[in-house]
Amino acid sequence: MKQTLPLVITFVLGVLFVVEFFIPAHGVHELTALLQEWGSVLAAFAFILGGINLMQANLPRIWRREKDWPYKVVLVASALVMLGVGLWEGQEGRTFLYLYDHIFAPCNATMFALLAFFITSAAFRAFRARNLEAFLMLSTAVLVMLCVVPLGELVALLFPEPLRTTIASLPSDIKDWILDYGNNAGRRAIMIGAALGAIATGLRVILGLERSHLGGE
Amino acid sequence: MPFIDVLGAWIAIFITFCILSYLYDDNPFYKLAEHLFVGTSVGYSLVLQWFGTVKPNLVDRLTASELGAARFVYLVPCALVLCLFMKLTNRYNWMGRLAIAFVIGIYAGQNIPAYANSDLLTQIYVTTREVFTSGDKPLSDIIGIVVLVVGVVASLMYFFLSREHKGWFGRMSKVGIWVLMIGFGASFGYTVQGRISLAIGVAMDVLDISRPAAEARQVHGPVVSAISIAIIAVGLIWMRRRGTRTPPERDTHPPSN
Amino acid sequence: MKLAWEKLQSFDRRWLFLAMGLAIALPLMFEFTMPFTTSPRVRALYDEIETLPPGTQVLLAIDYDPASKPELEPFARAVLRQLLLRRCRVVLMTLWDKAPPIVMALIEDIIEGEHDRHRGLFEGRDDPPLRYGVDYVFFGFKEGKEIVIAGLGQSFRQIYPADYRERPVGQLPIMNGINRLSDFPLIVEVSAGFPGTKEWVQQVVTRYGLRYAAATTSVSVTELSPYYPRQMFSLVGGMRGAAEYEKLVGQVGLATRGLNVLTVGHVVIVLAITMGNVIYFKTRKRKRGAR
Repeated sequence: MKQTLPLVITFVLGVLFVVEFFIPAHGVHELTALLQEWGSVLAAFAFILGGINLMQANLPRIWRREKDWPYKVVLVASALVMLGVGLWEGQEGRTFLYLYDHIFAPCNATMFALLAFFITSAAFRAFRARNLEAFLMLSTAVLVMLCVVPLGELVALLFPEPLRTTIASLPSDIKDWILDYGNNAGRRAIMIGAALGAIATGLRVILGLERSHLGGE
Repeated sequence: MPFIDVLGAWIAIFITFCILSYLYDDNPFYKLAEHLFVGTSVGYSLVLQWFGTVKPNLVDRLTASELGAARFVYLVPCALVLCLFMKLTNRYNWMGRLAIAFVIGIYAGQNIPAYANSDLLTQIYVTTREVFTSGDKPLSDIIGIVVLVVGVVASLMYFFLSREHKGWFGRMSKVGIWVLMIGFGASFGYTVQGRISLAIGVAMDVLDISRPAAEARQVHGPVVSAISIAIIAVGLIWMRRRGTRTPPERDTHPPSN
Repeated sequence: MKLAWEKLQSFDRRWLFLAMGLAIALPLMFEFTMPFTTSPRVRALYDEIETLPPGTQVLLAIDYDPASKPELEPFARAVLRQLLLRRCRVVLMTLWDKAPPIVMALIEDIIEGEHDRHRGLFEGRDDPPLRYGVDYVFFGFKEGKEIVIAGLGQSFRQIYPADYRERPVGQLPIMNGINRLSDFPLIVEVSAGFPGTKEWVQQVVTRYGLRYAAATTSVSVTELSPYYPRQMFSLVGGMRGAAEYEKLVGQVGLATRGLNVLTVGHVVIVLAITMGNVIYFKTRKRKRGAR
C-alpha cells in the first residue's frame, strides 16, 4: 500500500487531467477545478512545511552555538516576528506592511541589484571571443545592448529629416529582427526539445515508471 | 509623513548599503542584512499562504454554512494536508507520499497537453506558417525566415544525440550551435538591461528620486546614504583592527584562458 | 616581471564595481530625457486598449516582487491609468506572494489617492468616481502556480471564492458574467518570472485562445519571444519597454527617467567587454610569441 496507493493516485489524476483537455463538458471542468483548488491548498501547506523545516534546520545550530549562530538568531527571530505580526494584524496590518516596506523590500531589491555589478565583472573577465561561437555570442550581445538603449535615436538627431526618422528606428528594427529570427530559431528548437522532454517525463510519472518524487528510484 | 515612516526610510537606506557592502567584501553588515532578508521573507510568505490560500480555500469553505453538506468534501484536502505533515514523523513518513502524489498527478496530467499544444505543435505550426506567408514581405524578413527555418532544424539536429554528429549531419548541427549562440548573445544583452535596471531602481530609492517631493524633503536620502556608508566603513575598519572580519570569499584569481 | 597587459587582466574587480556604481549614480543627478521611438510590439497593447469600449472587464495580473519593481512598475502604473481613463473595469490578481502590498500601493496611488483629491487621473474631466467592487477589484494572492492558472481557466470563482478583503465574489458587481478566464476580453500580465508569462501561455492562453499581452523583465524577453505575436499580441520588455509605454500614454515616469542611466550603464558594459578582449588578445599574442 505504501508504494501502490501513491502510484494509483498519480495515475488516476494524471489520466483525468489529460482526458479533461479533450472533453469540453461542464461537469468535468467543475471536478477538475475543485481538484485544482485542493492542489492549491496543498501547495500552500507545503510552503508552511518548508517554514517548519527552516526552524528545524536552524534552531539546533543556535542551541549548539555553531559557527555564525548569532545570524541564525536574527533569521529565526525576524521570521517569527513577521509571522506573529502578520497573523495578529492581518495582511493589511500597519506594522506588518511597515516591516515589508522598510526591511524586506529594500533587501529584496538590493540583493538583485548586486547582479548589475557582477555582470560587469563577468563581461570584463569571461566574455572573450576565443572562437567563432564565442564571437557570434559576443557580437550579438553587444549589438542588442547598443540597440536596446536610445543611442541610435541620439545619433539620429545629427541628421536632417527624413534621414533622421530612418536612423532613429534602425536600432529598434535590428533588435526586433534579431529577436524574431536569430533568437527565435534557437529558442524554438529548445522549446520543442523541452516540450518533448516534459511530455515524456509526464507520461513516465503517470505510468509509474518515474518514481523519484515518491522517494524511490 | 509621520516620523516613524521617515525612520523606516532611513532603516531601508541603511540596509541597502549593508547589502551593497558585499561588493567590497563579505562582512558582518552584509550577513546581518542577508539573514534579516531570509527571515522576513519566510515569515511574510507564511502569512500570505494563510490569508491568501488556506483560509479562503479551506477554512472558510469548511465553515461556510451556505454550502450545506457539500462543504464536507473539503475534508479530503484536510486529510491530504494531514498526510503531508506526517512527513515530519518517522513512523508515518510514507503517508506524505499520498499528498505529493496528488499534486504531481495534477501537474503531470495538465502539463502533457499544455506543453504539446503550446510549445510543440503551435511552435512547429508558427515556424512552417512563416514560409507560406513570406510572399509579400520585405527582403530583410525573407532572409530572416530562411535563418529561422534553417536555424530551428539545425538546432534540433544539434540536440539529436542518437546519431553521431558527422558528415552533413555534423555540419548542420554546427550551424545549430551558431544559431544557439546568437540566441544566447541576445539573452545576455537583455540580461544586462535587466540587471542595470534593478540597480537604477535601488539608486533612485536611496537618492529620493522615486519618492514624492514632500517625502524626499523629510527623508534626505543622499545625506542618510552618506551617513550609512560612513557607519559601515568605520565598522569594517574597526572589525579589521580587532581581527574579527570574516575571511574574504571573493574570487581574486584571474580567469583561466 | 609581469607586463602591463597581464596586470590589467587580473586587476581588482572592485574598480569595475565602482565604475558601474558611478555610471548609475552620476547620470541620475541630471534630469534629462533622451529621445526614443516606440516599437510595434509595445504599441499593439496601447492600440488595443484604446479601442476597448467603456465598461470592458480587463484582467490585470501583477506577478512581480520589489526586486523587479524598477523594470515593471512603470508599465503597471501606465497601463492601469490607461485602462481606468478608458473607463475599463479592472480585475487585479497575483500569483506572487510578495506582490499584494505592491498592488495595494498601486491602487492607493492611482485610484484612491489621485481620484479622491480630484487631481491626476480624471483631471479636467467630469467622470463619476471609481468604486471598489464595481470599477476595480483586487483578488489577492493565490498559491499553486500552474495549477492555479489552469484552474482559473476552468472556474475563476472556484479558485478565488472571495477578494483580498474577503468579500464573496458573488457580491462584486464587477464580476457579473465572469466565470472563467475566457470571459475576459483582454488579459494583461506583468511578469517577473515563475509563475508568469510562460505558464500563462502554456496552461490557458493557447488552449482557450485568450487575448493576452504581457510585460516582462528583460531577462525573460528572449525566452518568451517565440510566443509573439501568435500566442501573445504584445510583449513589453523591461525598462525600455516600460519607457515606451509611458511615452504612448503621455506620462514621463521613472522608466523614462531611467533610460539615460541605462544607456550609460550599457556603454560601461560594452567598454568592459572591449577592454577584456583587447587585453585577452594582447596577452595571447605575447604568450604565443614566448612559445
